[in-house]
Amino acid sequence: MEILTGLISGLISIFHFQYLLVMTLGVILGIIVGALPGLTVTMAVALLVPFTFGVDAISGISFLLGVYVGGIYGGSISAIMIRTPGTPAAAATLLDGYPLMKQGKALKALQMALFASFVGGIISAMSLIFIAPQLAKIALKFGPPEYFTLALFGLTIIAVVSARNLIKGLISAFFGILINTVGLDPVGGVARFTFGITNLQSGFPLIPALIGLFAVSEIIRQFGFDKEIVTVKEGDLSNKIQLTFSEFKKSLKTIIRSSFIGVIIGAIPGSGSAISAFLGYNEAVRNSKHPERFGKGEIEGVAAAEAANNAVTGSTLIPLLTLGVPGDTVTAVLLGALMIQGLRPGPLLFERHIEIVYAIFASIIVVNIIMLIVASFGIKWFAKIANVPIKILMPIILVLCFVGSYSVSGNIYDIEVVIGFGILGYFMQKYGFPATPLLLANILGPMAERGLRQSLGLSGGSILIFFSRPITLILLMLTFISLMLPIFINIQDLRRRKRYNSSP
Amino acid sequence: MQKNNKVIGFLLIILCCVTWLSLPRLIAKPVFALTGFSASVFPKFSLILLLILSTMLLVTNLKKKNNENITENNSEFKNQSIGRVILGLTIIMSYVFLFQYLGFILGTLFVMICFMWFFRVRNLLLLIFIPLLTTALVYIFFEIFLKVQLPDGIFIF
Repeated sequence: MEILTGLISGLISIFHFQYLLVMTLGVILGIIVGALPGLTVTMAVALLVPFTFGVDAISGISFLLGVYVGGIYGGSISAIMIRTPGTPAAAATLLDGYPLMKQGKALKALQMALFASFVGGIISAMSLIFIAPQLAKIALKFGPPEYFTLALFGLTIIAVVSARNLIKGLISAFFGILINTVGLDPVGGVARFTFGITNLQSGFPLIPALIGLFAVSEIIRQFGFDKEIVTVKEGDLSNKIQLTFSEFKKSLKTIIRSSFIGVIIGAIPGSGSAISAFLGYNEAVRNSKHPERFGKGEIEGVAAAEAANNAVTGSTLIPLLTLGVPGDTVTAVLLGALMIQGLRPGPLLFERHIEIVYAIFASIIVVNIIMLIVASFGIKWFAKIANVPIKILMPIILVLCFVGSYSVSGNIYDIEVVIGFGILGYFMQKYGFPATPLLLANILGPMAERGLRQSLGLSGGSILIFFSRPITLILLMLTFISLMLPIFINIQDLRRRKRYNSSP
Repeated sequence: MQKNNKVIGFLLIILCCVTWLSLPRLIAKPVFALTGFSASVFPKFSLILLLILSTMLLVTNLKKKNNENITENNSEFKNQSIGRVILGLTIIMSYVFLFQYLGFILGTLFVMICFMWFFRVRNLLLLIFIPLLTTALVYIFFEIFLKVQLPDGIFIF
């Protein structure tokens, strides 16, 4: 009842022209960026955070949520129209989306992607609204040992999930922790690795690091191709075959199932919309009476992938808002945006700024509705965006990177951080080291350090403090399972291959 | 990829060892003596873990043959020219210098035109129009709307 009352007050607070305008703008920008191959939603959100500095918290966060939700949907546009997913989350969409386009049913595929994304987004928003407040109550019982083990779990699971090679993922995470010890230590204020340079006392700021790791590294990669990449001009909507209500109704069960898959995956730190999309798609194939049709233009394939990937958008905010632990890179940026507005995500956010929390809940519902309306009318225009050449976009993005990071504190040092992390990000990705764990170490590292040092202070140096509390034990077990699971899967895989090779 | 992994593993081991040995010089002493857990605890914790993982990376790649683990190669980095990467970095780093000393407007126009040229844009209209429009819009939004003071440079322009 309290949740419903809060939600209604949240909806009333955001139904102002200013908030509706910024949300609409965010959704449009998100769809445009999502539709452009080579640009990611993370990059878009990171670049647009500085745009939120001059506005209030609700405007800023609802704008970024619009970009996020619009961007996840937008990736399906280029996946369907030119067989190039605009975002990793849309990689599953192209499996059936592109064949549909080839059959002259591009409009049908785009419409199904939109409606499935909308349903997934709304289910995800509801899960956020009903689960987050309950989890926040549990999180109030968290002490330093819980925060340390939570940070450890968050880092390991992200390292495991984001890398093809477990060792590289963990190296990325702990290297990130090491470089984030640069600056003043969070407990005693002692300078570490500053080499006498004043700017290094503040460490490496999050937003410039993020812009460098994800945007500048991509600019360098695009520039580094030795041949021009020609944008494939394919796909048109001249054949006006629309989605019918009965087709949508037939796919509804798939959409709802995929949405719940997305909600569960989204709530786990480190997983993301791409994993969710493929899981949703696989389940649709498994449960279908005609699995042979998938991959050849089966409209349920598009529905499953899109519902699952958009269903991550709300639930991924659960660990962010309740525990202050970002679930993925986009929520890491949102964390930065909240902190810039003077709001610290975590259980205390629910105690001290509940009106902001309910406004965020209301915003996530409203941006999904805006996405449905905007994309329904603008689908034909958004479909053309996929053909804008990268060589025009990248210089513009470079300017936005510089100006955006400079505007954080008006200091050239931030631009130097952008370039440094850009170079680091480029080489890390080139050699198979994922950037996401390194970035999340920027947030989870200080949390882990404070938690570790305060816990050891409380226990007089005994590590048994981490094994004597139920929540820390559960988190340590989950950390252990997340580390062992890939090793176990590899061993099973090796055994299977040996058996296959040794059989006559 | 195995050769790269071995080199990276080896370099990380060296980095961890050098950083560990330099810790007393790289971490300041606290003003008040704190009991227990000093500022060097967490860097040491990360260094130990990083050293173990780097050793594992090196050892596991010493055992592998060269054609294994092809899936680790990032296919998005095929057809990369190191010369173009260096050129791109040079332009980006020169932007920092120009941003400060020529100012936002001139620095951005110059760098955008260079960048687009080397990105193989040859249409003169685009080479002029896109930088002008981008610079104008960004200036209006940041300087006028958000009141962010962008650098004026030595020409105060």
